[in-house]
Amino acid sequence: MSATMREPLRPAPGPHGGRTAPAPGRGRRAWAALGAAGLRAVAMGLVAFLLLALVGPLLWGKDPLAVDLQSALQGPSGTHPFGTDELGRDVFARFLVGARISLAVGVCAVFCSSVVGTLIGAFTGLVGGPVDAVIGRALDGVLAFPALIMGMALAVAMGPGAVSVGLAIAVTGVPWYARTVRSEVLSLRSREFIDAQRVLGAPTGHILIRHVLPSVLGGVAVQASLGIAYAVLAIAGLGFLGLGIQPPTPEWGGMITEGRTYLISGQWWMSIFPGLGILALVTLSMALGEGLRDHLDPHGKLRR
Amino acid sequence: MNRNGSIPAVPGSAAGAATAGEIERDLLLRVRGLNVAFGPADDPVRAVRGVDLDVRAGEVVALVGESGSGKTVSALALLGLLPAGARVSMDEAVLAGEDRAAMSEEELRLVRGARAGTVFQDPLSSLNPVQRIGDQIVEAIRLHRRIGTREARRLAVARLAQVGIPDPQRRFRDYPHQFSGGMRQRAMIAMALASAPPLLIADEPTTALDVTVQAQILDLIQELQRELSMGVLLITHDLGVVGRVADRVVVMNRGEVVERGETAQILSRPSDPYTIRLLESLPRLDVAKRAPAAAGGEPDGAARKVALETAGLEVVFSRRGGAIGRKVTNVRAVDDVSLTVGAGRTLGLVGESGCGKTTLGRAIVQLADATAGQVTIGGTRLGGERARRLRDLRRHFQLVFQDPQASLDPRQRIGRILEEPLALHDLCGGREQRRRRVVELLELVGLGTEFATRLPHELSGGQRQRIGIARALALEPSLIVLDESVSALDVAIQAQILALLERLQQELGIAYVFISHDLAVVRQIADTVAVMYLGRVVESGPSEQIYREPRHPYTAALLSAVPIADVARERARERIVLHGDPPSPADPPSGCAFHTRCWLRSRLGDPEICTTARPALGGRADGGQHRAACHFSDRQAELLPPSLLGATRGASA
Amino acid sequence: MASFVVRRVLATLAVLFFASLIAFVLLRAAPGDPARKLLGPQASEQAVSALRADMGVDRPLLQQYGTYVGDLATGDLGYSWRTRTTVTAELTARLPATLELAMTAMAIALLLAIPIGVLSAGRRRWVDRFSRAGAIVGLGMPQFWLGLVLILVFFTWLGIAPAPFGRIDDTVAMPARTTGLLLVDSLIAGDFAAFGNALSHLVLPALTLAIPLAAYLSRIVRRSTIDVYRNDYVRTARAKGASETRVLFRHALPNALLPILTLSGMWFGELMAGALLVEAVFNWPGIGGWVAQSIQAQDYAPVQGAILLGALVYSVVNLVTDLLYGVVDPRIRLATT
Repeated sequence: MSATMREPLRPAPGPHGGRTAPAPGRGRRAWAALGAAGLRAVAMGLVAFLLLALVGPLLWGKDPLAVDLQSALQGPSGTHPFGTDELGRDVFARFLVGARISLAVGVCAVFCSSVVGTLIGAFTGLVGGPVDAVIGRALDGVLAFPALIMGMALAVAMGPGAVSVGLAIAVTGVPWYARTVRSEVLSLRSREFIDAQRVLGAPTGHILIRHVLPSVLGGVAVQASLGIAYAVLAIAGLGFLGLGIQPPTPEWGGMITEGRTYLISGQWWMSIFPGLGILALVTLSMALGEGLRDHLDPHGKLRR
Repeated sequence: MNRNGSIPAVPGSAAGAATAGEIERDLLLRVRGLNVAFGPADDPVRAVRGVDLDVRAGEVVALVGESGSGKTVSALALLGLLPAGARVSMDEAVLAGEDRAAMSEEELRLVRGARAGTVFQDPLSSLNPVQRIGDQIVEAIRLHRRIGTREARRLAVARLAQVGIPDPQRRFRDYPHQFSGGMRQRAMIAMALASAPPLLIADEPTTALDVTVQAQILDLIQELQRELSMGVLLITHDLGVVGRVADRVVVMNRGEVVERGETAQILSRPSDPYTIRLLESLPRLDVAKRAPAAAGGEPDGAARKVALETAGLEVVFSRRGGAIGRKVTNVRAVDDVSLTVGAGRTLGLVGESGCGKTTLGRAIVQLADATAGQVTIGGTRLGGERARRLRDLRRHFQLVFQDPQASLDPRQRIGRILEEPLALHDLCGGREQRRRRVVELLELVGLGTEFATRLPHELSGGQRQRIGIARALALEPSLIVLDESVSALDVAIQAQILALLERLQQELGIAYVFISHDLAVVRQIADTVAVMYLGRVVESGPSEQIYREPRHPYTAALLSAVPIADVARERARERIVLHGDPPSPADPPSGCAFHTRCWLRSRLGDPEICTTARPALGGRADGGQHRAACHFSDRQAELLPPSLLGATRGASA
Repeated sequence: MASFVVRRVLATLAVLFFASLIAFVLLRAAPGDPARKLLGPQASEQAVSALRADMGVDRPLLQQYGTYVGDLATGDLGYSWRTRTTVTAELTARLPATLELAMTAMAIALLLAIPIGVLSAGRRRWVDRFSRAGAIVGLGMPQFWLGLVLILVFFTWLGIAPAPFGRIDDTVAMPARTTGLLLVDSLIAGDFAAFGNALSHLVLPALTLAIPLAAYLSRIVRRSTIDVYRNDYVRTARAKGASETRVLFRHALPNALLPILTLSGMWFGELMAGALLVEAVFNWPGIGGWVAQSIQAQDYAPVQGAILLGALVYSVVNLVTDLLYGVVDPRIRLATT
C-alpha cells in the first residue's frame, strides 16, 4: 500500500507535473486543440523560433565567432542590431546560433527522458507491487536533484559540455514522465472501459496499445512541452555557472555571463538579448504546455 | 404555465397581491414566474421557465422531475445559491415568510440557515471533510445566534440526539469520514435544523442512500416536520418517496411546471401527458413481471438447459495494512454462493451497497478471481485455463456495466467500439462484413446507422447504454451479466431499456444475471431472484414467491422499505424499519450475519442460536425452489405485517 | 497514524539511500581518476597513487561506498583544498547567509502568491488573465538574468540599490553574531544602521529568488482554490448562512493551501538550485556562491557536500510536509490500518 499512498499525498502539477484526463479523438482533437486561437498563436510562435534557429544563422550570414576588436562593445545599431561584445563579435549572430543550441540540446534531452520515463511509468503502473515500490523510491531519489544540481554533478564527473548538460536534463526529467504515466495508467486500470475490453476478450497487448497508450500520450505531450521550457532554463543556468556548453560556442547562458561585468557598467545588450531569447522560448513552451493541459483537462474546460 | 389552473390557495394569479399587503401567516415559500438562464445572453440555456411554487407551514411539497428538469436549480435560485453565471428573475417571491425581492444579499444570507434549512443529496461531499461534525453544527448555530461556544455545543449535541445519532457526545468529535452514509445524512439534517428554521428544503436527501437507510431518513424527516410543524420542500425524482411523504406535488419537465395538485390525485389520476407517461414507465414493487415470457407452466430445471451455475463461489480480498504491510485483513466479498440460471431466463440479484453483488457479477464473468468454488457457463467449467483459451471462451458470457460513459473508450467512435469485439474474435471475416454486422447490431438495439460515426460523449445516457448492450450482443453470448445497468437512467429511459432487454431475450434466448439495488426494477424483469447480504445469498427462489411471501426477515425488510407510488396503499402499509447500517463485510457479525439488525429475532425474544449458528440456505418442506437462510423462516409468515406491499393491485384500481 | 509515520520515515530513508547512491556513483565511480584530477597532469605517478591510497579510491567500489556512507553518517563531508577547511565547517559557517536569503524569498513569494492566486480564481477574468501572463513571464525568466536586469535598473541606472557585492557594505560594522542572520542580529544589537544596510542588500537577491516561485505558487493556489470552490461543502456553508468572507477563510482557504504544503519539497528544491545562481549573481557569501566558486576552481568536495545537503534537505522537507499533511487531514490521521 505504501506505493499508492504517495499519490494522494503529492499530486504533481507544477512547472513540470500535472494530471491530465484523456480527451476524445486523436489527430483531429489535437488539431482542434491547436485550433483554439491562443494555442494556435503559441504554436506559430514556436514554429517561428524553430525556423529562426534552423535557417536564421544561414540568412544572417555574419560569423558568430569572428573577432573584430575594432568594433568591440558597440551598442545596438543597423549593422549590429544586438550590438557587439567585448571581442567585437556580432551579438545577433551569436544569438541565432544560441537559439539553435538551446533547442537542439533541449529537444534531444526531452525526447530521451520522455521515452524512458513513459516506459518506466507504464511498466511500474502495470506491474505494481514491490517492483513498483522500489523503482518509485529510486525515482524519488532522482527527484532530490534538480536539473541544475545534477548538471553540476555530471559536469564534475564527465567534464562540462553539451553531453553532460543533455544527460542531466534527461535524467532529472525521467521521474516526472514516469509519475505522470504511472498515475495515468493506475487510474486507467480501474476505469471501466479497460475492464470492458477484458470482458470482450482483448489481449493485454491490444488493450495497452489501443486504449492505454493514447490516453497516456496527452499527459506526456503536456509534460514534454513544459519539459522543453525547463530544459532551456537549465541549459542557460549551467552555462551561466560555466558548466554548460563551453565557449567559444555561443550559448545563451554563457553569453549572459560574459556580458555580466559590462552590464553593471551599463553595456547591457550583451546580457539582455540572450535573456530575452530564453524568456521568449520558455514562455512559448510553457504556454503550449498549459494550453494543452487545459484542453485535455475536463475541469479546465468547465472553468468560468 | 398553470395548465390546470389548480393552485389551491392562491387568491387570484394577479401579481402584487402579496407584495403590497402583508404576507399570509403560514406562507413560507412562494414564487411566481421564476426564470433561470445560463450561458451567453444571446443564446441562453433556459433551465427554469415561469415556475410558480407555494409551501405552507406544516406541509410537505414535493418538487418532482427527471434529471435536468430544473427542480434543483429552482430551489437553489430561491436560496440565492446558484453559481455566478446564472441569471435569475422572478415576479414575486416569499422565502421563509419574508419578502425575498426586498432582501439584500446580506439579508438573504441571514435567512439561509436561520429561517430556511437545506439538506443536499450527497452527505459525504456536502460536509467539510477536515472539520469535526460537531463543529460544523456549532458553526451553523453560531452564525445566527450570539451565544457562547459551550452553549452552542450543548445545543449541537442536542440536535445530534434529536436526529437519532447514538452517543452524540462522542460522535460530536468525529469527522465525516467516520460516519456511515445514513449517519452523515442525519448529521446534515441536524445542521439544517440547527436554528430550528420554519422551512426545510431537502434536495434528493435519500438518493445516495440504501433503501433500508432511506426508509429511516424519510421517517426522520417526517417526524421532525410534524414535531416542528415545518414546511418542507422535497426535491426528488422518486415517485415512491413522493407517495410516502408528500402532501402536495409539483411536477416539472424541461424547466416548466406541467402539473400540480394533491399527492393522491396526481399519483392516481394524473392529467398531464408527461406525468401520465412518467407513472406508466415507473417500475412498481407491487406489480409483477408483465409477460412471464415463454415460461408458461413449464417446471424449472427439467427440460430447460442451464446457462449459468455457480457452486460454492467465494471471493476473498486481502488487504495489507500496518506499518510494513504485515497485517492482513480478509474481506469475504462473496461467500459460498451457489446459483443456477436457466437458458433464456433472468436471475435478479438484489442487495444493498457492499453486499457483494457486483463482485459476484465480476467473478461470474472472470473479472474477479474466485478464491474457491466454480463457475460453469453453458456446460463449460471456467477457471484455471490458459489466458488464450479464456479469451476465446469470453464470447459466451458478457458484462454490461452500470456507467455507460465510463465503460466506453471516450476516443473511439461507436462503429469502432462495436467492431472491436468482432475483430478480436475474428467473427465475421472481412472488414465489409463487420461493418454490416455493426449496422445490424445498431438496429437490434433500436439505433440508426448514423450512430456509427459518433463519439460516446455525443450520445445521451440511454443511447450509450444501448451501445453497451449492443457491444455485449456482438459476440452472441449465451449469458449477459447486467451490473446496475439501468440504475443511472431516468425512469422513462429505464423502461425503454428494460423493454429492449426483454425483447432481446425473447428473440435471442440470452440468459441474464440482472444485478440491482432496485427491487421494483428487479420484480419487473426477473424470473428468479437471489437476495444478498454481506456476501451471502440469504434468500433465493422464483420471483413471484419472493415478492409475495418472503421467507427471510431481511428480504421482508427490504420490500417494506421501498416506497410505493400509490398514496392509499403506501400509507396503509405497516412497515418494518431496520435500525442502523449494514455492518462492514470486513468484520461480519457471528452466526447469522443479519442478527444485529434483525426485526424477527427481536420479536422472537432474541434467541441464542442466531448469534452462534450460521443458518443454511434451506428449502421449504414441500421441496420447492424457494430457499431462505434463516433459523426461523417458518415463523416469519405469522409475524409479517399483513400489508407488506399494500393491498393487491385489483383493490386500488 | 503511528504506522503512517513509520511508513513515511522508512520511505524517506529509502529515498536518502538512493540519493546517496546517485551522488556516490556520479562523483566517485565516474570515469577518470579523481586523484589525477585533483593533482593535475604535472604530478608524479607516485604522488597520484599515494593520494589514491589515501583517498581509498583503489579499494573495491562496494567498500568505498561503505566508508563513504560511514563518513556521511558522522557528518564528514570531506576537505576543500581551495579554502583549506572541512566542507562541514564551511557549510555551517555559510548556512545562515543562504537561510536568510531563502527564507526572505519564501516569505515574499507566499505573500505575493496567495492573494494573487485567490483573486485570480475569482469572478473577475481580467485578474486571471493578468496574473496568468505575469506568472508565465515570471517563470520564463532565467533567474540569474532577472537578477542582472534588477541590478542594471536599480543599481546602474537608478542608483538606488547598493552594489551587488555581499550582504552588507564593508563600511558598516557587522553586528555581533548570535543567529548568523544579519537582520535578526542587528535588531538584537539595536544597530538600525546595520539593519537598514543589510536589508537594502537583501531586497534585490530575495526578489530575484522570490519572483519565479511566486509565479509558480500563484498558479497552484489559483487552481486549488477553483477546485475547492467546486466542492459541495462550500455550498453547504453558504446554505448555512455563512458569509463569503467566512466561506473563504474557514472552508476554502485551508483546503486550497494544502497543495502549497504538499508541493513544498519540490519548490524547496527549486529554491535551493535558484539560490546557487542568485548568490553567484549578487556575490552573496552563502553556500550557493561558494559552490559556484568551487566549481570554477575544480574543487569538488564542496560540490558533493552541497549536493548531498540538498538531497537531505529535500527529503526531510518532504517527510515533514507529509507528516504535517497527516496532521491536517483527519482522513489520514485517523486511519486505523
